[in-house]
Amino acid sequence: MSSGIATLLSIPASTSAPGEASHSDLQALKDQANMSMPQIELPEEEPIEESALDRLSHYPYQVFVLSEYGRPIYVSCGQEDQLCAFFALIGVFVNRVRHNGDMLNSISSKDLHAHFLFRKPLILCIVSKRRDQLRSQLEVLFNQILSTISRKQLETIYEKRGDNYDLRRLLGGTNKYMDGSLSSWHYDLAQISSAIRVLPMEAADRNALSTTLVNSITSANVEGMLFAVVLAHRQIVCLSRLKKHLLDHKDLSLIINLVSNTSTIADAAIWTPICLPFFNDSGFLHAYISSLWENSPAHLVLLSVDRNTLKDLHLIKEDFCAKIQSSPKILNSFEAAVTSPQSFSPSNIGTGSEMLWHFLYRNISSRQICLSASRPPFIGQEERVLLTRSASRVYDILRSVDGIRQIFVRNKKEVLYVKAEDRYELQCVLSPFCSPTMASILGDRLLKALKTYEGRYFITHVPSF
Amino acid sequence: MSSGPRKKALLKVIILGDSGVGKTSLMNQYVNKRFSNQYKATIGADFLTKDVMIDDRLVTMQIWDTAGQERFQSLGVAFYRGADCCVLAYDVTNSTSFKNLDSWRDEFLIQANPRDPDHFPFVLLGNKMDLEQNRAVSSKRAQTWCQSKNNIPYFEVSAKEALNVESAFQAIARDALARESQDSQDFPDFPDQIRLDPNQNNRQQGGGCNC
Repeated sequence: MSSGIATLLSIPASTSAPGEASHSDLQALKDQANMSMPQIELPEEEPIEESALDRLSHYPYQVFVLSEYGRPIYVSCGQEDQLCAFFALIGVFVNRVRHNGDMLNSISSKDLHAHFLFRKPLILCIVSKRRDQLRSQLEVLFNQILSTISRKQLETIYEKRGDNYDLRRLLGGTNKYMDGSLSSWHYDLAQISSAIRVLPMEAADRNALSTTLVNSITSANVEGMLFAVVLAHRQIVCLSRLKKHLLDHKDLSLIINLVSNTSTIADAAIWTPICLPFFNDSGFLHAYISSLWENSPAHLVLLSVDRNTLKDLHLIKEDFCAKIQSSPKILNSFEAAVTSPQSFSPSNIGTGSEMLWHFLYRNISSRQICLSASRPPFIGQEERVLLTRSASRVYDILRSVDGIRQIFVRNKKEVLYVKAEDRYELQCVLSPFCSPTMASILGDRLLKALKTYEGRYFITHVPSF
Repeated sequence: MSSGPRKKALLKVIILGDSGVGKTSLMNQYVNKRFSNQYKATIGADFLTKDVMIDDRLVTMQIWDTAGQERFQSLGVAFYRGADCCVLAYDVTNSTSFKNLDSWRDEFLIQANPRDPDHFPFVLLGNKMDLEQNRAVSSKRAQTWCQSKNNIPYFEVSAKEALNVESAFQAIARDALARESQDSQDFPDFPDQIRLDPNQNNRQQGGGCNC
């Protein structure tokens, strides 16, 4: 089986069909200028499936979503209908193993890895040249689908409409969110670490902002109003919630995905139903999303259980905007934080900071991460990608091997130091001249500094209404 | 979220019949316009994709060419379920393959468990018309059988000579498509409002951010 998939992704791009005239043949014919152009035989039309499979071989990964019975729903490269046969094959792989009372999880070859996730009535499959976090990517994509079609709808739709129902009808228009969910694994360390990122901001300024938000919500007194989130650049600025209700970080990341992949929010407000599966997987919340000023990268998301509250939520936003506009102190600090975010600088740790090139800290209970400001040698796109991949591998190792407390790896160009405790995980990239002892000392110093500046880099209190 | 442009229709088509009646040859002729005299038994199933234009609508057919051998029939449920149409094939020179059509049809209906079994779209193909001189099943006999099964459309075809194959599949797609449009009402409405009960919210253990 694995060799079959391996061939699939390694078929060379330009296999010319037998009988096809090559470019030089044509040129030779043209060169015989005084002759009439002889008719050339057109190559036989290549079956769609084969050319589509060729196309796949160029991608580093590909994700497939299909119904339990092999009907194509989504493929990350688009045009799922051209890969019908391949979808059917994935379905048969999974069903064949289920038929034996077992579950197919993965197939690996030397340089290609396939992972399968069966979530009745759907099958998700990823085929990737990299092996880390494949299952997590499928799980998050499944949550993304649930945010459009609740689990309850998904479980009953095939019963109601028949096993041959084409789920693409209900998912219409949401491909960009599925694409967004998958691509975030390649740049967003919050996604990779299954956490959320907080926009750095002085604690007092953040509190002033969230207090203003709560005031606007309280004074409007809208029945059904549940959560409010201010976010910018996929990072959380502040949050507030209805008393006794919590917003799970996985639901929050669905909201972030929705906002960052909806291009039309720039000047207009959006009103959309959304299922947050970790809050309630059988029903829908109604989200009102609006930017906070013209061309603002900051957005306000208000979530209500009542579908008739659009107008009321709009009024809350108007009130909130008016309040921050009228307070120069709040407005200025907010704008500054959004337009030029001040990430944690390694110089905050004092002596030895020049050895610390990059870090990623993750608080386990709050699911919030803090990243260092980018500095040489990790400035360019390529270096950032390397950091992202390294972080992804580390999380893969931490999740799959129990009990790892520290990792120290010396590479030619850098040192990787990881410390995992019950309350946090810390990944540092350091100068290649850093010794294990030094790495550990710098790590502790960093933890101390993070504690000192906790209020700026983490949300420690979420006001309720 | 807007529903976007209407998707190209997609049909799952299953082809069933005794081993050796020419299911794979029919598929190959239809999809790749090729025929080989060599017989290679299908293992499990082969899958093929074919785009077809029905009136002004482009339809993609996902064709499941199954193995006729009995040892593969345990795979039935995964293969048959979710089908839009079932193509039954027999060999006009082989009367056993015709007699077995009843059991193929029954088996399909049991395993696929379609919503409206009496009106599920079947098509019957009598293959190997190029060997008509050896014919063992008359046209009349096949037609009578089709009538008794709620008027299944019947085509006599030859995969070898590409006789009637194209038009048979056109009919298959047209029939399945007609059913799809009869059944086109999607439910856009959202179910009942979530009732906020603070005691039920914290179903998930841990994991929540300390927000």
